[in-house]
Amino acid sequence: MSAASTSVGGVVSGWIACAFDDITLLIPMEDAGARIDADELEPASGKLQLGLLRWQDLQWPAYRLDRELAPVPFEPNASTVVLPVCANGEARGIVCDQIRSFDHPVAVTLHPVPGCLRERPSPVIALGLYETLRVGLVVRGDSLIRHLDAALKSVTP
Amino acid sequence: MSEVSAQAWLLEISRNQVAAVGLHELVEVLSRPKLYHVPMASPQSHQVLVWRDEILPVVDFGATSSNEPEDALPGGVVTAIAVYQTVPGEPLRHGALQLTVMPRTVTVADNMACALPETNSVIGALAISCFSYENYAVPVIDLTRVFESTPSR
Repeated sequence: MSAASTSVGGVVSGWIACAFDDITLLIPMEDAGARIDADELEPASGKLQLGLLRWQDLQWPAYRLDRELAPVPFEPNASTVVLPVCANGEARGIVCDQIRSFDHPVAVTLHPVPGCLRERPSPVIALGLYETLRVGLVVRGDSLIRHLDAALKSVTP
Repeated sequence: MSEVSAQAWLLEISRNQVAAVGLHELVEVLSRPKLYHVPMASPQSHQVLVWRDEILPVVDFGATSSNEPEDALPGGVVTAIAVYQTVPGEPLRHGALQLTVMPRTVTVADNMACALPETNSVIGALAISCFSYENYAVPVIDLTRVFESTPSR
């Protein structure tokens, strides 16, 4: 197993590609729920929350991220979709422009993040090559949820 | 006794900055390849490209936090694929450098050696030596440091 595979924590059953703001997150299927439409979100009042999704009988907030993975204000439209990302009994919704699934574990080839790209601690644990020429950012549910919680704490109310 | 000389690539890494690498350290030049953004990285290194089934980091010394990467400017930008080795015997690694013009070869002799310019701390930290050429002090950069070192904030 390569160093990059080890960073993902072992073999995954497939991948979800979640695209927004010119970047694509690659999330193991084990860490994602079924996509929902933005109009299925229930109203939310929390900081930068775009709505609440239901996952395992609890409600969890959904956010739009920018290309630096920071939660940002966003006006959902008819084509907006939400991917539930989950780990350790928690979930968050990521508001995307497009969601695709790859039902095969080797659909994504993992590559380590080069040293010169590691300026700050990041939820991106590897880079993924898929469909021959496309590059996505590999994240796990727990690292993305921790990152979101930390980023929201630094947002001025 | 004759001077020892060697060939090197002269790289214009921004509008007023040059650096050099050894002749064997550049393998290809690309014109405007597709670049992918990587978040939470430095202004000089926040992109990657795909080259021969590898994902390579792209370093743009001309980009700063206060301006756009130079590939936003019209014309002239090329991307050079560089090769390096972290440890002898280990597989070769590759990275990409954004340049403002095509690289060109120069002949460097021992008597051209000079001190590193003190004003250029970013390149200075990546340099292993320096030579004087056409009124420029040209740092010879260590590609392992360029692509493998974590940027300091």
